[in-house]
Amino acid sequence: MNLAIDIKYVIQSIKKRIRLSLLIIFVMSIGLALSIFTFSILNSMVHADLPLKNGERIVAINGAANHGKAGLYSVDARDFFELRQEVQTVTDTGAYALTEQNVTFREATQKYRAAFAEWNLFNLTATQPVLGRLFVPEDNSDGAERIMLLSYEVWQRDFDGDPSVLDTKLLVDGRQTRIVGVMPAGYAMPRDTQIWLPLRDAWLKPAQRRSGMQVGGYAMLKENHSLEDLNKELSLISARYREMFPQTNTAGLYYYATSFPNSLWVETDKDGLLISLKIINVLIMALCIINVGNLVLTRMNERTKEFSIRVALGSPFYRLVILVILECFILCAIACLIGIALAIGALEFTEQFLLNYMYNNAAPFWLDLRISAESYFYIPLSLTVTVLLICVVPIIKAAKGNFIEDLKDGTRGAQGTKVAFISTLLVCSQVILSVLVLISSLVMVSSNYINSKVDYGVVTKNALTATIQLPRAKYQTLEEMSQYYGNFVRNLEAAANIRSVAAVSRLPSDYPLDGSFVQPYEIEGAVYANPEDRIQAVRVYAQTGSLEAMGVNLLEGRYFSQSDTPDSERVVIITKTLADRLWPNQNSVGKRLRLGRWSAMNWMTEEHMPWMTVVAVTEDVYNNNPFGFKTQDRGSAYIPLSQRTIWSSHTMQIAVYYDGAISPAMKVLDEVRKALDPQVGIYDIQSFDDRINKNGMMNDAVGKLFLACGLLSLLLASISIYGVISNVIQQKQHEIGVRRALGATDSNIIVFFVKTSTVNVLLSLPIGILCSVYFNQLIAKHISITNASNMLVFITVPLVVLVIAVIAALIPTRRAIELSPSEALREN
Amino acid sequence: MNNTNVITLSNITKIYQTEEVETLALDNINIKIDAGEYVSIVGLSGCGKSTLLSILGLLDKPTDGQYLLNGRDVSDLSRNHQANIRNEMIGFVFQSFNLISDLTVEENIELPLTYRNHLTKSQRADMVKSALLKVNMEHRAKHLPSQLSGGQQQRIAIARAIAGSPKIILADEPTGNLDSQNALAIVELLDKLNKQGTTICVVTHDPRSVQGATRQIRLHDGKVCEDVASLKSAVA
Repeated sequence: MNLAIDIKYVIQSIKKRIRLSLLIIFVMSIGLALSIFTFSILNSMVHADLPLKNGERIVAINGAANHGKAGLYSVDARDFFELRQEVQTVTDTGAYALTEQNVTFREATQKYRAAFAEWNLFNLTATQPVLGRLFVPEDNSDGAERIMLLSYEVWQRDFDGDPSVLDTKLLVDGRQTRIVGVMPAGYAMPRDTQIWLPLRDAWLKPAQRRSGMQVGGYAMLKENHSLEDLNKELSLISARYREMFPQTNTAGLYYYATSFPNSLWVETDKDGLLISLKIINVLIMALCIINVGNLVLTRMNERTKEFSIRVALGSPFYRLVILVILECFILCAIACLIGIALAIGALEFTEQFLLNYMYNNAAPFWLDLRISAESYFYIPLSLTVTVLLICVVPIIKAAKGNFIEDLKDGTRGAQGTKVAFISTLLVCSQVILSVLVLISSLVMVSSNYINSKVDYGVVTKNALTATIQLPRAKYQTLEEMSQYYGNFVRNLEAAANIRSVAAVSRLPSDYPLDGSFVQPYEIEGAVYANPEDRIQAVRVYAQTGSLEAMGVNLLEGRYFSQSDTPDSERVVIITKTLADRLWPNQNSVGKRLRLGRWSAMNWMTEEHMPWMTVVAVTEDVYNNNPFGFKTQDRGSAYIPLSQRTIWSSHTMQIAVYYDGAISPAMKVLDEVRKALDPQVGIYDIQSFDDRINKNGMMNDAVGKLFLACGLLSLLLASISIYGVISNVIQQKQHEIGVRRALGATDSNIIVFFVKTSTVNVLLSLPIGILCSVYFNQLIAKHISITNASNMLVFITVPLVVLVIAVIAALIPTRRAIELSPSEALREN
Repeated sequence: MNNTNVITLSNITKIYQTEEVETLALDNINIKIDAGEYVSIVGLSGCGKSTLLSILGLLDKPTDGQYLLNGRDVSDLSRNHQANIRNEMIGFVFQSFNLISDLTVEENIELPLTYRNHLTKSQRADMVKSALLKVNMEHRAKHLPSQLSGGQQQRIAIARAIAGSPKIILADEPTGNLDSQNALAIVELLDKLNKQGTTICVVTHDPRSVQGATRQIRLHDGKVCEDVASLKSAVA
């Protein structure tokens, strides 16, 4: 019965203060939704367990140099062969190598994402084929028959789910390969694999270190061991290898284990982004808790007198607690339901966005954006506990016997000193946090925007880009590959609607998958005490005529010519940034440099690193992602394709400049490919601008997320500041009446309340700005932040927050003075 | 028009309109109060005393009728103009004191003076000191209202009301929350102020407050049912 009465009172209380109740629910649900959303995104994309049996124990093994500062690599195949026999904390290990393969079938060639894998990959992941068989140990032998497994999706899409696909032979990279099985739907281990091919023993068990063969590792942790245990082992093993093999395992090369989802983030050098996202997430959550705390405190303070009356009437303490808990429970439950519903909607939308745009339907197989169990539990719990803790303050105050003070008419409308102090602290905290989140978000957003508008240094209009992939079996030597690229460019340029063609190892704006395109350079005659002293830059191989085709402007010197052959003097063209860094205030043309030996490429010999003469300096070209996580300011060095030494990739990027529409140009591209060699694949055909936009999409999306976080935090802070000030003013309605009775004019009242309400905001702003400066300095270590817009952001944000505080005070004050003084005096 | 009339109410009507009910609080009130009068307005609870005082103090507007204050029609003045008149001409004393709890005694007294832009800080300080002396509360200047007794709080409220030397003091049940000793002190204080030339209107149903009054207006159901010189006046 008592409970029923209490529930009735609570519902009446919520209805009576419906605006404040709705405000609390709104702030709480929005904050919850955002926190759950960002937390779940992080959890699903970075920390999720693989959706496989014992997925939480399956880990990736990778390598890094210079403690991660100089680049991240796969594991040297020989090192992996030896270390896998030593590690004790895992039950099994295996190796794989990811690549893209041309597959020719029914006279069509298309690209598949392939995984060369060891036979035990499928056993370790406890997966059986839906058709045919898995790999067996013999399949990994060097001389074994060439076989392959299809993913379920490829089987359905390209083979119509035909069961007779088994034993069909396809040309994979120019070699006859037999299909022996089809994997189950959704299986794409180790990432987004469409076909699996056996990794040969020559790759699994090379005789020497630094043979150029690298693998990714996978392992199953023993049940009683953690990732940390494995990493301790790997750390010791790496250190011993560095000691035992100083010629090859130098420069802090070490191996480490991590989850497969996390390995993607580390590999693509987005850890800074991740850290920022995590910090923003924590800040938003903190802001949400403070906001809700402040609103609830206001609500409870408003009810102090009611609690005092109840105590005076003999209400036991527990009844008050029950009342408050019930009220909090109802408010929190509604907010949690709305917050979770909003988060689910946002996650579904984001997953579709990621699948359709970001990953181009090649998402990692573990991608499943859903609310994690932790999110369901901890975030609502933390909010509820905060709310409860704050609610208890006025009850304790009333129960301590101070109710007589609260019941005195003379003190009505005034907050208790302690409660007012807590409220002030909360308002100050939320202003500081809002400024911090908003400034940080806007700095990142504006930096992203400025970076997205960067001049790539090449012409992108009326240009389409594509990737050419040569089948390895047919094109085994550098000469064969060069000849094909030369013929391809010539034949294309012969077409009526094609103006020019560039063929380069890397196009501007391409995002680096790893550090392999960035290399240190050594100047002739220079002595380097530390390997880190060498200047790093992007290395790009270019077909003769490509720089002219792309409109790269020369500042001095000449373009590559047909006379730059493997036998002639080695030449290089460098960008202005690199020239300035290599030879500041000097003329670079005629000087000599060479590629520096790098820890991951210790197999390189002097033959691979001949001295090259600088024949030209160009205006800057961004051969990297301009958002530039760690690599933004590196210059570029162009080396003629004909003189390449260490690069043996079978892929080449082309930019085709055309007249008229893009469709005929695409048609010509395909015709030339078919005419030259139908087994050659041409993929990712798109306009240059689309390619640039697509490469910046991740940054753009994250930038927008940051902006949303920032604006939402501003909204939360605005609502909360408004809610608190509005309530304070409502409580002071009687005081307003007194002041007006004493002769205060409307402007006297407005000025007084705006001044007293914004003074805390004014005091908090400098702290918020200082925190933002410190935080941005931290972020700048991980993310490229453009300084140009910072000053504007640092001035604008505090002003906006101040204006919001003034408006928040102005609106309720104006509403309050609408009452006649006699009505205001009757307010209690 | 009689030049000594400080307050002239002609056919004042006040109707409170809510969603369902229309309440006639004042019904065609006609009252003239001369400068220096000490008027007590009495009547049963709900008869319209406080409403009348609110209209007299420009805290509320009549629904109908004319209000001349010092010979000037104040019914339709702007809000700010009315505020200025309240500040310069009228002092209020409330039953519940209405001191602002966050402000000290002297800050409370200084408050209405801060709305007069022409006063300097030192002028205000002098006026506060003088008002405190008049109510014998100068030793409590730095205290907060919550540190004072009810009687002391009411004296501070009177000090606040007289600090700006208003022509009229309007008091709403000034002794309603006080014991007899404190109530007597307040009555004496008001009497003293009246003797110094201040027009005083007291709304009350406490016979003690009526003692000093020279005229008594009795309201019943929003109408003046009696308007007589008081016993004290008659004796005088």
